[in-house]
Parts: sequence; structure tokens; C-alpha cells
Amino acid sequence: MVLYLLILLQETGKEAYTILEAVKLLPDFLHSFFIEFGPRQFFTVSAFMFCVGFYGVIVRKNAIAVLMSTELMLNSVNVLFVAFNRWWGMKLTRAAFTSIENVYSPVGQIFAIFVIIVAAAEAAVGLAIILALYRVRKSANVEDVNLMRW
Amino acid sequence: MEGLFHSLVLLIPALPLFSFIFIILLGIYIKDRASHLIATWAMMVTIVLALFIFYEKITGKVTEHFVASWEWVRVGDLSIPFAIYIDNVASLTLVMVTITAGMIHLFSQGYMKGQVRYSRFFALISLFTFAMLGAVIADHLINFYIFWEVMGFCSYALIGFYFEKRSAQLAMKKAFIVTRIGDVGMLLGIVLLYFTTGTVRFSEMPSAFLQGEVSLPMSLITAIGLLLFMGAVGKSAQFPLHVWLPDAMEGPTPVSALIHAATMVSAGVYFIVRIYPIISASEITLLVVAVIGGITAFITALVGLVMKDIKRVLAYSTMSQLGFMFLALGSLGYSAGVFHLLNQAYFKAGLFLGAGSVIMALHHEQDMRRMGGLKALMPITYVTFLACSLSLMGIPPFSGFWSKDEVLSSVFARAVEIGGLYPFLFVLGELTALITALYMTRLLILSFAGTCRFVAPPPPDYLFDKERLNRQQVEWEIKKYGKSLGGLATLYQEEPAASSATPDGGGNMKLELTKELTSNIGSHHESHSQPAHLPKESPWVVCTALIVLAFFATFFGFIGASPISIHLWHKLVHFGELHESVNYLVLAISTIMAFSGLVIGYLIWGLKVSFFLKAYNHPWIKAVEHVLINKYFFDDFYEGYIVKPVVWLAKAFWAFDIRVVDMLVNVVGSGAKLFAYAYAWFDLWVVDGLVNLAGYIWLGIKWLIRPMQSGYLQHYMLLILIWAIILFVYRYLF
Amino acid sequence: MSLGGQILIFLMNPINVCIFVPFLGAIILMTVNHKQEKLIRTLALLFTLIPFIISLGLWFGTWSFLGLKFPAGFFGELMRLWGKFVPTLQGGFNYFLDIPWIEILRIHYIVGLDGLSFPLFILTTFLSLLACIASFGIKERVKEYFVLYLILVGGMLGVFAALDYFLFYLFWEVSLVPMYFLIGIWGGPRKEYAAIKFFIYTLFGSVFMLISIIAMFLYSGVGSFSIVELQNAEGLVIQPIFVRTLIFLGFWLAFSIKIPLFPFHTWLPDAHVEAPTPISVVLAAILLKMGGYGYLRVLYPTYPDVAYVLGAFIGVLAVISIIYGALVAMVQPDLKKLVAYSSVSHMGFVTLGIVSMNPDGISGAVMLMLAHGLTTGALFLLVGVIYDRTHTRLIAELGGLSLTMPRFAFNMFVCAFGSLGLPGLVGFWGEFLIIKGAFTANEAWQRVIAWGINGETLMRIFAVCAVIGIILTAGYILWMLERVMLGREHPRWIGLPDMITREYLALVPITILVVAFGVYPRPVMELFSFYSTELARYLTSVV
Repeated sequence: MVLYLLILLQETGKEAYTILEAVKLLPDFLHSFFIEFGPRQFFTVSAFMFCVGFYGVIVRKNAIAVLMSTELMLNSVNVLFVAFNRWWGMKLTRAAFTSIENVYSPVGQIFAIFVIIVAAAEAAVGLAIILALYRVRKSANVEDVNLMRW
Repeated sequence: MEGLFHSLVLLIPALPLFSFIFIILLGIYIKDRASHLIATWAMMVTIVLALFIFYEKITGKVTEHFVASWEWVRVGDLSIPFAIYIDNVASLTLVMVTITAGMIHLFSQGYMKGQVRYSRFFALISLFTFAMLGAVIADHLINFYIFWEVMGFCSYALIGFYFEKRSAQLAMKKAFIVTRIGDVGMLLGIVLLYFTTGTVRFSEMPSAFLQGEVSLPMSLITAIGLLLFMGAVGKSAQFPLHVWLPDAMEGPTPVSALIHAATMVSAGVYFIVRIYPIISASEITLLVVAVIGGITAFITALVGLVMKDIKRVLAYSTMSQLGFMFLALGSLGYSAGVFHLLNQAYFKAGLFLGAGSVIMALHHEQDMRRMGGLKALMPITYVTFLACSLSLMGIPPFSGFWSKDEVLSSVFARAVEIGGLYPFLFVLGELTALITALYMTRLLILSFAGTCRFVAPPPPDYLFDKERLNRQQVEWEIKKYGKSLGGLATLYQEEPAASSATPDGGGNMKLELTKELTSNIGSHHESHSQPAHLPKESPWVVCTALIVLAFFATFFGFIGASPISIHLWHKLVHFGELHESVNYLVLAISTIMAFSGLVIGYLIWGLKVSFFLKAYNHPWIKAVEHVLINKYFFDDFYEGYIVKPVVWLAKAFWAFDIRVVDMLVNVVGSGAKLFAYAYAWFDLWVVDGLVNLAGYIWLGIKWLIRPMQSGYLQHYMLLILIWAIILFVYRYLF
Repeated sequence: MSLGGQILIFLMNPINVCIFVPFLGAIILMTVNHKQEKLIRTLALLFTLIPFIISLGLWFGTWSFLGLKFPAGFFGELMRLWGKFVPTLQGGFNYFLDIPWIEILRIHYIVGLDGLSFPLFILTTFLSLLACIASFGIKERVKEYFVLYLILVGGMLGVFAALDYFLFYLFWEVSLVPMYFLIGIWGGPRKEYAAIKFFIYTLFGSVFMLISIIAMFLYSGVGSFSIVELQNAEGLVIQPIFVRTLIFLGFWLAFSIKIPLFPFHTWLPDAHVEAPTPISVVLAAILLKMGGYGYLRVLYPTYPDVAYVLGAFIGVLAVISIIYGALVAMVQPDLKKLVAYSSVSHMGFVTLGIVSMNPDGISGAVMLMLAHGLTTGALFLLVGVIYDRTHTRLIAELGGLSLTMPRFAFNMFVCAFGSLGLPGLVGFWGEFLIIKGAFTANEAWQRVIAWGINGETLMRIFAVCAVIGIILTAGYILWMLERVMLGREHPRWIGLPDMITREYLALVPITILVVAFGVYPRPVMELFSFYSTELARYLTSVV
């Protein structure tokens, strides 16, 4: 949660450089958070998802749960990709002449799909490793796997 | 003529040399008989050659001073020729040496019969004769020195002919080393002479020193003379270095006759005769020569009075006579010295051979206490021995009388001329003449007169002496071999031939004799047990030699007898100008001295007058006898104050060598080793320690940071998180 | 010149043949199966025989004779090239060869023989042949032994022929290393100690020599290591006496350890006692001569001024060596140690002869070196004969051997008296010439004052002291003979066999030479008489 807070603070603005300053700016931040629609909400969701995923990776003992938590973290990134593409994505110039609304390039989406594909591959490999581990150790508990110990 | 003379002169030493080489190389392959025949016939031819040369010389067919030289050694500027120089003295000496040596070769055939190392004996005496003849004719001092030393070697080897005996071993070593001391002085003298004058040839000395071709300071001439005289002192057994000659009697009797009576010891005198220009150039040298000669003559004659061994009496007599010669030479009596040299050689060789004949007859018994009564048993030996003895005593008209008279006349003339110490020396000489007659009378009476004590049981003091000798041998054997090999009794047991000659002897007798000998510690190898037969006359070879030498001992003197033929002698042998006066006063005194000695001796030992017997028991006389029997304690003095300190010093040096010199080396080595160890420690713990320390530091750090690498993925992620937080905190809080 | 021509010139030089035949032999022996001991011995004999025959032919003029016999063809050409050794070659060396070797360091390969080195060269070839015959008694590790032995022989020959400091030093060390192994492997009970002591002691000296060599090279300014060229090098002559003395002392230490002079002699008894018989022979007869050779070849011609300054000091050490060595020899219980200390005494004589700087003294030194090589070599062989039979060298345990082994005794007496310096045997000439030389000194010594005494007088005092050594020599030799040879036959040694053929072959030539050169030393003296005269003249003229 601290991380979450800090990410938020990072997002808040350029003025806040210390926690005290961030706390001072908190009301202002809350106001704009709920009033304005913008990427900030997406950030928050994404950060929340990431933190949950991270937390899951750190604390869960079941390897499958860890893998799932990893998926969560990856998906939080997907949210960010899409959000960034919406607000800071590249404007396609030719479309600007033919339409009233701005037409944006789908790079964020493409990356999101890319990440999904990678996540699927990673899940497959991860599950295979977990299965192999299980065959050897008769357990899917990550605490039984410390081969990388010094 | 000269060419023939050349080759004949060279043949004289060459013949004995050939016989030496032949016998020494083939000695083990040829029979004993062959070796003595070769040696003796070579000597016989040599005698003829020497006589021929003498004849040529006196008839004046060759020059008076015959010199011939061949190039021999050349190194750098130094050239040493092989040179011969034959003047009248040399030719006379050649005759003397060849005759005595030839007779002694002949004698040895009889004497050495059946003895061990027979052919080697003949080889060695041939070598000796070669060296002596070479020394006689040598012109160059280096040639002379080489022959002189080869003589010394032969003397060494022949004294130690019975080298199984401890006493012989000691005697041979002593003889060589003591003469070597003199020789070293002589070598220095030669070098000094070489260095100062550049001429060391006898033939050049008269012109160099008499006609003053070289001018040297008197001190240098004296030094050269004294140094050269040192060699003569050693070789001729004169006063400070005389101790070796009595011990040299350990050799076989022919050796004593040849080397230690007739020739080698006379070579010292001959050497002084050869270098007489140097000796006579300095008054001090002359005086030293005369004093040493006089002292030796007197003190050794006194010792001759108390010796019990017949050969030792003769040995002391030899030294005494050699002293006479030096006395003459030191008193400018050149002709007298040479004359006495020749005479002494003949009669002393005769005496030794006579003694040898007696010893042979008595089965190698040398002690006079067991002789006596041989006059009737060995008539030829007795007569010849008597002739030689009378000659030695100086009884007219035997040859010794004439030469001794000449010697004393020259001392008298010198005493009258310059006084100084010479009058004392003259008195000493006359006294010595008296004592000479005395001890020879004693010897004659003890050996030849009276009853034959050989067949009687030996006296206790004799047994005591023999046991002492045997004890020395046994003690040495125990020390050397860890056990006694039987002492002297088991050495050189005679062939059974000697005892089986008797009709009733037989083998059993010999067997018992041997058994008794081996069991009896007090026995000597020369058996003192009752022999089965009386002594008998020696074989013809021995008698021939005796007769020839006795002939010369009797008649040779007439060649220079003062009233008759002194002109002839002085013409033959002279130094400087001739002085041919006959001093009848000295003649009379000498005669009186000789006869009184003879008479007193007869009174003491022949008639045993009670006055003398009483006097003999006087404590003072006893004390003197004690000193004389111990030879004035010279041996003890040298042993205690020279030999022992040298050996002690050697041991001290050896200890020094091990404890100090070598220890220093080892200490340096060990020190280096110690330093190396120390450095190795330093290197291991300090230099390498620093390197290792660098590693250990990281090892310590490892312990700090290793727990982070738990191997759990989650831990790593947590760490990433923590680090991220820290970074954020750092970024935003500070 | 083409490389092939250079190689041909190199190989045709008789000195090179003599030096490199043993080395070649060592290499060939390495390839032989170690079980073929007979073949190994024969080959080793062959490879020591060839240098001996060649050097003997150089002396007798056999090769020039053959050159006349074969006027045409390579063989005749070679023989004419070898010719006859000329001892009186004015200011030059026989068979001189100078070819650049390591040019960047100015090192040349220079060899040549003159009146000093040629006798020692022949002595080396002769005694190495005899020692090789004596080595046939070695039973273990034969191949290694002979390989090392041949290397040793080559090194020793090289030392006497080398005329380039670097080459000299190289051969000096080459002769050292095999010696270490020969003592250390085939030696007696304390062989390791003796070998290490010998090696380190000698190396200690030669390191100083190396320093001196480098210093000479640097100071001289000639840019050469040639012994002849550095002799009068301008850059060396102008150096202050202090520097010259330091360089002198470096060489002096190396040579004095090798000779050995008094305080540096303690390696000798140990090495001699522990070394096997043939190696003792080589050690005494040849290796010690390298020290005396160094004195005459390097020290005295190059630094005569220093030699006069330090002459009195060296002379005192020589006299101490003579008397001290003789005295210590007198009380040695071990025969080999006795002979070893007698070597100290004799080499003291050699040093004294050199110090006198008189033609006779120098001739005497060379003559005594040869005589000592013969007699002491023979004495070691004789001690070896005793040791082979009795397995003891303690004088106290021996006795009466002249009865047990009469032919052995004959050789022993001749060689012992030769060592004693009996006139008529070879030892006498050296001693006589040295004493005469020291007594005469040379004119230059008159101008030298040492310790307040005129140099000439000092030399005379030395001569008189040395003469005492002659008496002591007689003392210890005779005492030794008495205890070992004379006396009753020892019950323990009854029935010992007399010498066998191998021992005769090794000993009788020496015995014959001891007598022959004692009676007629002229052929030997002709070799070095010109040399010593020239050297003495030079030494006199310089100061």
C-alpha cells in the first residue's frame, strides 16, 4: 500500500517532493480525483492491481497462486498501456483531416495484446516448470524450491 | 781416449742402475741366485772400471780435472746439465766405493741367504750403489743433491728391510726425516749459492771462490757454507742430527756396512770435500765444521764404550770417525780428511762385515754379552776383524794410524797457527783417539776372547733387555692389530737348514725350539736358547770379502803414511798449496794415546784389574754410564721437545680446522639457512598473508551478505520491493 | 664467410674436437639403453680416449707427421692444420679461434692453447682417461654416471682452452654441476653434505668472479670479453687502484677457493672423502689446477700492480697453507683426508711459486701442478684400491699391506715418494723451482715494501718457511706409509687380492710418468718454460 501511495504521489504533481508536501496536497488531489475523468483513475486501478499481484507473489506459497499473481501484475500493465494510449497516444495525422474526433494509433492496444500473448506463453512455461517441480519435490510449495540459494 | 773415458765413467753408475732395474722389475720372476749374480757381477765389472779410471788418472792420461757435461734439464733461464767431474779425490773415492760395495755385495750372498725379500735386497743395494757412484762423480750440485736424496731413500728402505719389526719402522722413519732436516738446509744453501753466484758446479768452485771470480760478502759465504754443511751434518750423522745412525743398525748388517759405515755417511764428508772452496773461504764455517766434528767425535766415542750391541758400538765408532774427518776439514786438513775418509771406509766396512760374520755364526745374535771365545772358532773372521780394529784404533802401522795422525797433525798445525778453540779441539781429538782404542779393545775382548758364552745360558740383564725389545713389539702389535701376533719370536724364523746341519740336531730339536720360542714372551727372534752346536766359520764369499777389506785396512794407509809417502799423497790430494811437513810430536802423542787405550782396555776387560772394577762401581761413574747408555738423552729430548710438540701442534691445528675454520664455513651456511627459514616464515605469514587477507576480507563480507541469497524467489522480490521503497524514500524524503 | 665454412673451421679446430667430443659422447650415451653397461663403458672410454690421443698427437707432432704423409685430400689438410703444438709462439696462442657468438653482448667464442694451458690440457685428457678406466668399478646407475662424467671432462677441457671471460665462466660452471651430482649420488655416507658444501662454496667464489668479469667488461671500454684484449685495456688501466683491487679480489676469491688456499680449504677434505675414487682423482688432479690456472691466466697478467700490493698477503696465506696443510695431514685418521690435506699443502707451494713472479717460480708452479696431478691422482687411485678391498680408509685399521699386496705397494711407494718430493721423482722439480723462484723473487719485488719489509726479503722468508713444509711432508707421508704399508701383515687383511688389470691400467701409466718425468722432466718443461719466462718478464716490466 505504501507503494501504491507513492505511485499516486508520483502521479499527483510536480510540486510534492516529500511525504509532508504530499500530505498537504492530499485534499486537492482527492478533489481532482473524483471530479476529473482522466488517466489518474486508470493509474489507480492499475497500481492497485499491481500491488495485489505483487503481494500475491510475495506471500503466497502455492506456486500456482504465485503464477496467477504474476498474471495479475501483467494485466495491470495492460491497463496502463491502454490508458496511456488513450491520453498520450500518437495522433494519426491523415485521419485528422477526415474526421472531427482525433484518431489515435492503436500501439497501446497492440502492446496489451502482445503482453497477453506473452503472459499466456509464460503461464504455459510456468505451469510446466511447476509440474516438473512437483514431480521432483512432490509439492507445489515455493518454499521447497531454493536451488538458487548461495 | 777421452771418449772412452767418458763412456767408462758413465758406465760405472750405469751398471748398478741396470742391475737395479732388472732385479726390481723381474725380481719376482727370476731366482734369488740370478738376482745376486747380476748385482754382484755388475759390481765386479764396476770395480775393474773404477780401477782403470784411477789408473788413467794417476798416470796422467786424462786431465787432472776431468769435466764432461750433457744438457739435461732446461727451464727458462735455468739450465741444469748432467755433468761429471772427476778429480783425484773422486777417482780415489770411486775405487773405495766400488771395492767396498762390491765386497759387500759378495758378503750379502752369504749373509742374506734364505732371508725374506732376497732379490729386493740386492735391487736396493744396487740402486744405492748407483746413487753413491753418481754422487761421487756428479759435478752439478743439483745432480749431486738428487743422488744424495736417492741414497737417503735407499737408506730408508734398507734400514726398514725388516719392517715387520717395530724398532725398524721407527728407525727408518727417523733416519729419513732427520737427514731430511739437514737436506732442507742444503737445498736452501744450493738455492742461495745459485742465486748469489749462479754457479753450482763443483768444478767451477775453486776458480770462483779461490781466485775471487765472484765477490760475495763474507757473511753470505758463511751462510752458504753453513747451510750446505747442514746437509752434511744430517747425512754424516754429526752432533745435533746424529740420532738416526745408531737406530739405523736395525737394517741388515751388509746395509750397515755399506750405507751406514762406508759410503753414504761418508758422502757428507765427501760433499764438504767437494765444496771445500766455499767452506775454507770463511773462518767461521771452518770453525763450526771443526767444532761439530770434534764434539761428535768425542761424545759418540764415549757412548761407544757402554754399548752392548756389537753393531751399535761400531755405529758410534763410525760417527766418531766421521767427526774426525770434519775436525780435519775444519782445520784446513783437506788431505787428511780425504785420507781418513777412504781409510775409514775400508776398515769400517771390514769391521761391520766381520761383525756380520759373527752375527751370522751366532744366528743373528748381536749382543756382545753372548759372544766371546770366537777367536778359535772363527779364525779368518778374527784375524781380519783384528786387522781392521787395529787400523781403527790407530795402532801403527795399520792404515788408520796414518790418517788419524794426519788429522791430528792438521788440527795441531791449526791450533799453533791461530789458536782459539783449536787447541781444545786437538786435546779432544787425542782423547777421542784414546777412547777409540779403549772401546775397540773392549769389543775385541768381549767378542773374541775368553770362553764362548753363546752356549752358556744368557745372563739376566741380557734377558731383561731382550724382553724390553719384545715388549715394545708386542705392545705395538696389540695397539695396531688388537692382539699380539707373538712378538719378535714369530718373525723371520730361520730355515731348518741351520740346525739340521748338526749331526745330532734333527727336526725335533727345531720344532721344540720354535715351540719354546713362541711360548716364551721374553724370547727374541734371534734365538737365545741353547743352540745345538758351536758357531763356525762363515762361507767363502764372506771370508773373501773380509780378507779383501782387511787387506785394504792394513795396507791402504801406506799410500799416505806420513814419514814415507806423504809427498805422494799430497801430490794426489791437496787443496791450495802443498804443505808436507811431518809433525813427529803429534805422531808420538797419537801413538801413545792409541797404545795406552789398548793397554787400559786390556787391563779393564782383559785382566779385570780390581782397581778398575772398584772405580766402575763408584756412583759417579755409574751416573756417567747411565747418561751414556741413554745416549745423553738426545732421543728423549727430541722426542719430548720436538716430535711431541709438532704432533701436538698438528692435532691443535686439526682441531682448529674443524672447530674454527670449518665451523665458520658451517656457521655461514647454517646462518644462511636460518635466515632462509626466517624469510620463509616472513614470506608465508606476512607477504603471502597480505594476499590471503585480501581474500579473507571478502570471506567476511560473504558472511554478511550471504543470507540475502536465500534462493526463494519471493525473498528476492521482497528485496526488490524494499530497495524500491528505500529508493523512493530516499528520493522523496531527503 | 658462409655459415658452412664457419662451421667447418669451428669443427676442424683440434681444441674444439677435444672439448666437444666428450659433450657429444654424453649426448650419445643418453640414447643408449641403461642396461647395456658394457657398451656404455666402452663408449665412455672411447670418448675420453679421443681427446687424449688428439692432444698427445699435438704434443708429439704426430699430426704434422701424418700431414706430410698425406699431401693431398681433406685428411692431410686437417692433419697439417692440427700440426704440432708450438710452445714458443711469440705473443700468441696455438689453434687460436675467435668467432662471434652472442653478438649483442659482445661475447665471442675464443679458444687457444699456450704454454700454460697446453700441459694442463694434456694432464686433463690423460687423467680423465685414467679416471674413466678407474670408473669401470662403478656398479650402480652406470649410464647416468658416465654421462655426467663426460660433461665434466668437456667442461674441464673448456676451462683450460677458453680465452673469453664469458666462455671461461661458462665452462667453469659446467665443470661444477656434474661434479655436484657425481659426489652427491655416487659418494660416501655424507655425500649430500659434501656435495652441497662443495657446490655452494665454489659457486660462492664464482659469483664474485662473475661480478668481476662484468665489472671488467663495463670499465674496460673495449666492448669485449676477450681475456687477451682486456689484459691491457685502457679503461681498466686508468681505474684507481681501489677499483682494480676490488675486481682482483673477486677473481682471487674464486680461484683461491678452487686452489684451495688456507682459509677456504675446508670443502676439499669433505668432498674428497665422500667422492667416489675416480672423482676424487679428477677433483684433486684437475679441478684444483683450475684455481692455479686462473691465477696465472687472469689475475697476474691483468692486475700485476695489485698482485704486488697483495702479494705479501697471498704469500702468507700460501705459506700457512703449506705448513698448516702438512701438519693437519699428519694427524688425519682417514687416508683420503690425509691426501686431501696434502693437496692443500702442495697447492700452497704452487701459490707461493706464482706469488714470487719469478720465471723459475712460475715454472715450478706449473710443474708442481702437473706433478701434483699425477702423484695425488695416483694416491687417490691407490686409496681406492685399498678401499675396494677392505671397505675402510682408516689408517689405524690398516697395516702391513706391503706384504699382503706387494705390487700395489710398489706403486704406492713410488707415488708417495713422488708426492714427498724425492729428487729423481716428479715432485722434486716443482718444489725445487718454487723454492728457488721464491728465494730469487724478481727485480720488481725489490721495489715493493710490505709491512715494512722489503718484498724480496719477504719472499726469502717465505721460501725458508716453505722449506719447513718439505720436512713436514716427509713426516706425514712416511708416517702414513709406516702405518699402512709397513709392519706385520694384518690378520684381518691376509689374503687380499693384489691389483687387478683395470687398476694396473689406471695406475701404472702414472707410476711410469712419475719416474720418467722425475728423471727427465725436460719434455714437460719445454712446454711452459717460454711461457713462464715471458710472463715473468712482463710482470717485472710492468711495475
